[in-house]
Amino acid sequence: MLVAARDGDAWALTSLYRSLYPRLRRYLAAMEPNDGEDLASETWLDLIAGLARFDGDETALRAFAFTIGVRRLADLRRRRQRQRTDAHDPGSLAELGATGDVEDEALESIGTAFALQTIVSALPREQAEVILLRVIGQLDADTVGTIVGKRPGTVRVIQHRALRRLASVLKLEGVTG
Amino acid sequence: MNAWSDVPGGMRASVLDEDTIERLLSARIAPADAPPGYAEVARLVRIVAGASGPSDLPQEERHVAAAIAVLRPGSAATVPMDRPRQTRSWRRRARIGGLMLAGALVGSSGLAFAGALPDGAQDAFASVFERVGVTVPAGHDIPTPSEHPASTGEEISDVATSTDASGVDKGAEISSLASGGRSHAGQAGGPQGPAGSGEAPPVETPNAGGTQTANAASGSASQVGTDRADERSAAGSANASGAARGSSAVSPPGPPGP
Repeated sequence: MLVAARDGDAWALTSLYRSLYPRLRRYLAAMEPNDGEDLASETWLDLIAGLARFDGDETALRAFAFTIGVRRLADLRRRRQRQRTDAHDPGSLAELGATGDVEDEALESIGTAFALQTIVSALPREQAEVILLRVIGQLDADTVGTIVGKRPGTVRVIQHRALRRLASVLKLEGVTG
Repeated sequence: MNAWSDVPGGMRASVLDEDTIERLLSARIAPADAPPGYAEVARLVRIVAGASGPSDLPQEERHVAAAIAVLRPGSAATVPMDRPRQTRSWRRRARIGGLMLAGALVGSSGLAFAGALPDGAQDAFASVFERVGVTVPAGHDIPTPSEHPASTGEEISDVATSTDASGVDKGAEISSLASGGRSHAGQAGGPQGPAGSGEAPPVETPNAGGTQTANAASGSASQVGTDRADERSAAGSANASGAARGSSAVSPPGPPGP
């Protein structure tokens, strides 16, 4: 499929798109709700542009795609920091999870967006990034470490802490909500 | 409610081993099978890792078309995406600019052939066309409106009324002024053309003086000037006669006028 995609075959590109784009978009929209769609589009085009020089299997291609996505995300944040036009205070995201009526919003009925929002608002950015790359990107700890620039051992510590915190927050919400 | 970082110790989840974490993060643990305190986490992970639906592919057609356009630049796929559109826009601007330049060159060439450009531009075009063997008038070859004889009627009239010359000389002076120096009227020195010179006379012969030559050369402007001069001269003579009659009692008679 990759060979056909490199040659520009529509069926191969469509298959590639369906296997990669929704996950990219989901991850980027979770990290940057207002710009996720644009970031995903840019990532897709960059991925296509780099397809000719890519060498590897589909798992490696997924890692390649998320590497591009994480870089686009970092670029956006740097631009925002320079322009100082970010209207969202990252600290305020932590309050979003508690603003809804948790009693009525049973976990069984929540959608993907709410689940993503719960993770992003419950965890510090670094932990959320690792958990989402592992879950959405279906990437192992070593690959995630390469993408975010951390050692695999550090990634494992981060993900363990993230899961414990998530469990505590969700249990706390269930009790106090 | 406590802050997120201030979770009560009694609510802490159990410690997870490496294998459980891997199975949890890869959504292979059902909520019912999750370790104590991790059922909701397992449910959340399963939702986030779930398969995508059509709502996750809102721009599939555009994105795939863009990919085809990138990988096959010559393909007919339409690419309504930002970066390729910028490229197309640049090409379009270049094409329009080229057409405008070509139009300007054609238009300027036409004006150059008509000799209607300013002197500098006319000279430049003449120089360029000369190299390819096409003759275009240079800027200094084209008479400007101020050089046209018809525009100097008032000056001609002034000369005609104020000059001391008469006859052939007067005609030559007026003709020379009226024609911008191109008339040679009267330069032969007599009413007849130069005998045996081989040149055809500028006007029909016999030519009484240079006045007719001046008229022909100046487009009748000379005749207008001469007529005005005659009228003013006649008026002046009449005034002079009257004055002479009035002063004859006290003044000695002078010599006769010309």
